[in-house]
Amino acid sequence: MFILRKLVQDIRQHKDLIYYLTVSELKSNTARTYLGLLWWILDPVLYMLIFYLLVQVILQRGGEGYAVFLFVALIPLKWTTSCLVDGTKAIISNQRIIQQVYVPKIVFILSSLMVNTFKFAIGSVVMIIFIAASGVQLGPESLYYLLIVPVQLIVLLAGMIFLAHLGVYVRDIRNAIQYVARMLFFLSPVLYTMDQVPGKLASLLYLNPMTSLIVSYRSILLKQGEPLFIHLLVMALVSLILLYLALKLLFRYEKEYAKVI
Amino acid sequence: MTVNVLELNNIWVSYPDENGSLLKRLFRRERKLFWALKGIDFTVQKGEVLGVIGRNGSGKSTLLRVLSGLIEPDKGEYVVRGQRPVLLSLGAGFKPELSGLDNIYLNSLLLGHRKEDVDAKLEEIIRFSELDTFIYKPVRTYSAGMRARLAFSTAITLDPDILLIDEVLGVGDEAFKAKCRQAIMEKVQDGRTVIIVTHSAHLVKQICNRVVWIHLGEQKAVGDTKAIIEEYQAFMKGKSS
Repeated sequence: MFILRKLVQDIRQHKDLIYYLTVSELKSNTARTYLGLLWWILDPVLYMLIFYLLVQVILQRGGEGYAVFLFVALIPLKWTTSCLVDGTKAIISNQRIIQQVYVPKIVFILSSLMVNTFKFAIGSVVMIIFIAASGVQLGPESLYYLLIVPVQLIVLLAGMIFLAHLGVYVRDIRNAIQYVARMLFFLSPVLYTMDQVPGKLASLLYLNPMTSLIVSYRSILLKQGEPLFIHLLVMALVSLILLYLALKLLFRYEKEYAKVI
Repeated sequence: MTVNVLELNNIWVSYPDENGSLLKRLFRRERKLFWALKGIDFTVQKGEVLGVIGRNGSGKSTLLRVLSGLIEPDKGEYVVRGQRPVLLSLGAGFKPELSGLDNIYLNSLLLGHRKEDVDAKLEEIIRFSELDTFIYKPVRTYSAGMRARLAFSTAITLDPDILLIDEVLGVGDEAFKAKCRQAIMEKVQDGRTVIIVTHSAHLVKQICNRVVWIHLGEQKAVGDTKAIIEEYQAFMKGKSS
């Protein structure tokens, strides 16, 4: 109970700060670039084009509608990988602040999550436009999007808190996370479909949470089907428990960070 | 009647000894600790100006961190009655790409102020900083002096109940330095509680009612300024000769 109360209190007392940190990070991101805000739209499109070029044009695989197929998986995947990578830096990159004023560390993690979620939201809009433009009918099932996204959000928050905490003590985590991100990418059906995976391996791929998410996103957006309800439910429950444990860890150690950074 | 706004009861603070690799650290049975503060014990009364002196490495910065709530003591009790003291820190968390104005907000919110208070005092902050229209330019275009002016103005204008000041404020040109000193003196005369941490005996003699002297993490003396400063100076002289 104490943990929930502290979480609510920290957020309520610092909501303006979280907002300002998020906005200033977003502003700093695009400051001094010629294209400015346009980068947020260009970023997901260019990211998709690279893999389109690789698979469709060079390898001549993929088939019809491959661009949309890729897009639907890449947007949530990019959200995850940027969150995890930024998560490891969420606390240490603010070391100057941490050594001078007391700010609940959850503030930095939440603002980092919000920065990436904002970019994801823009990516989602671009994606929806792209789907509509490519002639795929968006059915009412696509509204399940609003169910899957919150599940992924909880997964990400729990993961980010653990990584942010580890990032303070074990600097190696910043290098290691790059490979984890790449594994999440290649060991989930981003570039391929689940049918192409040999039977035994397919069930193993579901150990990667991105697999259930991507399969669900594709189902609701491209096939007018349902998401993997059971998977999502299990994921939500597991990550709520993990989130609780992560917060417990963070609240226990946050006053030690100023000593070791 | 005097009110103790802060009470430090036998405060001990340790830092983990960070030598060696992860493997070494994992397998070592006993973690070695470095004790930065060993039994610090004093109170701060409302409206007084307290000086904390000691030479480099004596634990002054650690004490500041305890006072501002950055770290929790390993042993001992730290009691705060009322608002937690805020370190008058210079430009923590400035983002170079953002304008001075944005940074005022960011910095103030980090220091724990409410947005409404910043709104209300915004003009005063800008006036004090003498930055004029530069306030709309990104902080990366500022000179070091301008940056310091912005930081100091933000911190001093939005003053908390208890002001923590680290070292002499070597910021800006002479004129601005004098202005800073005067602003601090005004706070002092206002009856605000101020804690100044420094190794300058001169500054302490000028403005402090009481002094805490720390040496190698231990509290050597606490009490009347004049007596302790004399002792401190004699001690330092003895060390250097």
